[in-house]
Amino acid sequence: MKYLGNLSLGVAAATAMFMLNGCGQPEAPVVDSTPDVAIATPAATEPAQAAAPKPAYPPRPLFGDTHLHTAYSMDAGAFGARLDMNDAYRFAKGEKIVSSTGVPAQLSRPLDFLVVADHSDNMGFFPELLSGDPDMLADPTGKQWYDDIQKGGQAAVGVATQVIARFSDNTFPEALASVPGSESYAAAWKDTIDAAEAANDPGNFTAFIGWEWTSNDNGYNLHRVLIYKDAADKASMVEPYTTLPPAGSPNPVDLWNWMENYEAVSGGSILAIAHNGNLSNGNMFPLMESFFKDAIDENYAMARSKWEPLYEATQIKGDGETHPFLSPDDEFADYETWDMGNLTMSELKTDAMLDGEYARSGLQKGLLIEEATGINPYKFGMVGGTDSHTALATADEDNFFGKHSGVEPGVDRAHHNIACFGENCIRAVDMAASGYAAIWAHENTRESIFDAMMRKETYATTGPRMVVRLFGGWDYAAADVEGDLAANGYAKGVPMGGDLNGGADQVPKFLIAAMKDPEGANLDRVQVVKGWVANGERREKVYDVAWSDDREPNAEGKVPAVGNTVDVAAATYQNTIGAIELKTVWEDPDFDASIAAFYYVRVIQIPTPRWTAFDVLNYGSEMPADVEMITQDRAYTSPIWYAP
Amino acid sequence: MEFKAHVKLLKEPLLHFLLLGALIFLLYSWRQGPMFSGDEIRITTLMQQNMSEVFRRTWRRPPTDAELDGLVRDRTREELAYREALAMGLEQDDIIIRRRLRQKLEMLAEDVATLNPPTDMQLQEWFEFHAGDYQVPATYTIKQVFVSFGESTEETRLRSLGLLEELQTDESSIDIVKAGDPIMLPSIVRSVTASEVAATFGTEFTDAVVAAPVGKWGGPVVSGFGLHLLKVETYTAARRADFSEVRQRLERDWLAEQKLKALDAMYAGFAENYRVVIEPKAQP
Repeated sequence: MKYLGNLSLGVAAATAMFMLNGCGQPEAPVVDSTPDVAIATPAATEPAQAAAPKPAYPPRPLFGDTHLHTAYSMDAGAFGARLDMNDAYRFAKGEKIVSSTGVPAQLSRPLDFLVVADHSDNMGFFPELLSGDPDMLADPTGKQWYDDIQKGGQAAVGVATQVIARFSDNTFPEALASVPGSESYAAAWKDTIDAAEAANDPGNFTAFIGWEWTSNDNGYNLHRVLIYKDAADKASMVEPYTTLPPAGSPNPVDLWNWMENYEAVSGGSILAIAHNGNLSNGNMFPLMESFFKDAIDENYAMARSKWEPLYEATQIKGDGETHPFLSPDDEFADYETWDMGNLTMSELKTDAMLDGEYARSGLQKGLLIEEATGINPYKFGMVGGTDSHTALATADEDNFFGKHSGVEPGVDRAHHNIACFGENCIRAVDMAASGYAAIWAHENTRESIFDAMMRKETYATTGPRMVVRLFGGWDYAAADVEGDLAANGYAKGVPMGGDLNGGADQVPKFLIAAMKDPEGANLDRVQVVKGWVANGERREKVYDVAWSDDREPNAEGKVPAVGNTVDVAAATYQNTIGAIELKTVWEDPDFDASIAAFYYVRVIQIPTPRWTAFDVLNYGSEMPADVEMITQDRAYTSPIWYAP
Repeated sequence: MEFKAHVKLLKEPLLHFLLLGALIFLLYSWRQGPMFSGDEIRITTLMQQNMSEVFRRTWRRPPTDAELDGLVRDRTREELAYREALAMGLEQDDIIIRRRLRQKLEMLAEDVATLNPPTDMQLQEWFEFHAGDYQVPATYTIKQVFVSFGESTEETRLRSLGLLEELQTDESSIDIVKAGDPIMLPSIVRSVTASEVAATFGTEFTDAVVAAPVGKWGGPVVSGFGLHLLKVETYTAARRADFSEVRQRLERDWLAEQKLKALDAMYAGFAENYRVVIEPKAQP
């Protein structure tokens, strides 16, 4: 049977089997909390635009998903996704949608931005059919169809049936057929761009143009999401890069070359965000040599640090901050840990692989490589994304639509396995209801959010929308937490993602503030994670710097657990413990001015019910005994790097 | 035959017709590639041109000879595999293939249904019918003073009521930024929608903002953070959007509905050719 389009089902399907995955229109608020504001007489009622001056710094972070798949991703469709990017944008904006499995779905609050990142491999179904070009109109059938479409209504709808019928009996008019391959791909890329342009609403909601480069050699997950600063005119100049040679490549070095080429050709701007080091079996953050035999030298370091300013540190396929083997003294290290093997479960995990997989160890290895080459390849800020393949960007424990449409809410998903190696299985119940990216952008526009990503003024959350600020500098004092904390922060130091260089006999001080999600759980504590290297080895220390309730650090300096108000059976919790906000100025008590280090903040909520508890409540699902029912959601900021 | 007879034959309309038919057939099979060639797999010049074009679009340069050879080799293997797999019946009982085929059909129907952009008149009609969905949201300028939950509910309540009275009596004597308890929330927010208020303060507080009378201090209002005294300074009502303000959204939503209609019609059409039999549910 004839068909249009170029489907390389074979390789992609095998990979695909394991590849997983309202109506408010806010304007940027103006915040006046500077101490010297005089109380104005009530303003006359007038149009918003005339009254509002621009704030000096972002008043609140923008929350979004940097990594979502729709039915346009080959594997998503295979899993049963039927929603496209238009549906994805509507859902992200807060509208009610019916999911691919027929479940009504709606976010409790809209997101501020979204990146639809469908896989570049095998993108596309059909060429742009019946585009009304002269060849088509010259063909009598084509002309009749075109006229019927012009009539609209039932006549237009009838055309679809005829088109399908003609396909099926091989009588599709020659003039209307097109060459397989390129046209369908071009059409899908155009659809992606068109949908982003239609959904983009500067000031209210940002829809980025993007796609995912899904490098998966040997089952080692080296995927990157590509995000454009640009609009359609530039993005459409070059088609996305794929991973299958010879037109594509699975080597990130080749991807960076492609990105360089894109910017040269278009004059535009693009960045890449890698994810799921935990499924790369050590290949995400190599030290000496990459999986593709590239030396980790200054060229590699320069390219990687240039093109990859951020890392997706948390998502549905496991949390990627750190691993208990790497951080044995960190009682919060074992969180939504996936450490069984690679993405296809063709190879099991060994301990030796782990430091090449996690954000914290990646940051440390970056310092090691900087010692050797002068450039830090892993100098990344942090974001979270879902990587959901349902077109629904859900990361809330109580509203989690899962990795793909085979595990949307329902009684069955408690039994599903995602991938198995013999008896070892990654189970659907191991999915994390995570994550989102929080971006300190000045405005809700592509340009502003992209710029904030490039300067790494971002943090990752595992779903909740706590507000976290971090500043580093030499001159902060305790009083800086009072008054306009953010203004004090920006005035006397650098925000998250920034650099502190050689402070002439001073100790770095960090101004830190965290506020709970207004709809969510109180905060347990705020921590500073410090990392450095000594004698070629990774070092770290986690400090509790602010915490709720009357708790005293124990003999080891650790603050005891905050408690637990979760009623698992009812899937509820109480905000009778924890704090609504925590803020402090913290000075490094173990500072050594001769050693390069990074500092990032981790904010941890009080315990709340995990999505599995909601499944039991809503569907009566039977969960295996070892499945977690309680979670402590958290945020990880981009680091501030100190260099001597 | 004699020469004259040849010439006469060549002028025969039937021959012309047959030759033309053969020519069309050849042209067709040449353009379509190897589909009609029995055991032949033909990677045509046109196909190779196409592969080069795809390559060029990604790399902004044509492939080298070696690269093109690689593409051709791969395409040959793909065709071999495709035919052999079909001959073996591998496409049967494969849920991914079934879903993919369904997806293709549905995309086809949707493509056709959305081919014709709507006219302004069609969109006006849509807009009239759905005007409530396209309002420009109301905006608010608010002031708030925060009171944190203290030692006892009663103590907090009394403190907040005391503050409220001061604000109601003589607002100008109070620095609202410093009044109440400290928290990293803005004391004044100008000209924002309810959605934006919710992003900062949560939905409970926002409900109170929407319900509050303009120009008076009131409260205490509860939020996820604690208690607030609240004054809505100004309020600009939601209004019906102008057609031009929302035309792009209208077109997008109208097209979305056409897609759904197209799918319904397609399946209804298909179903006419089948007898769909649903057996009774299994008894427990």
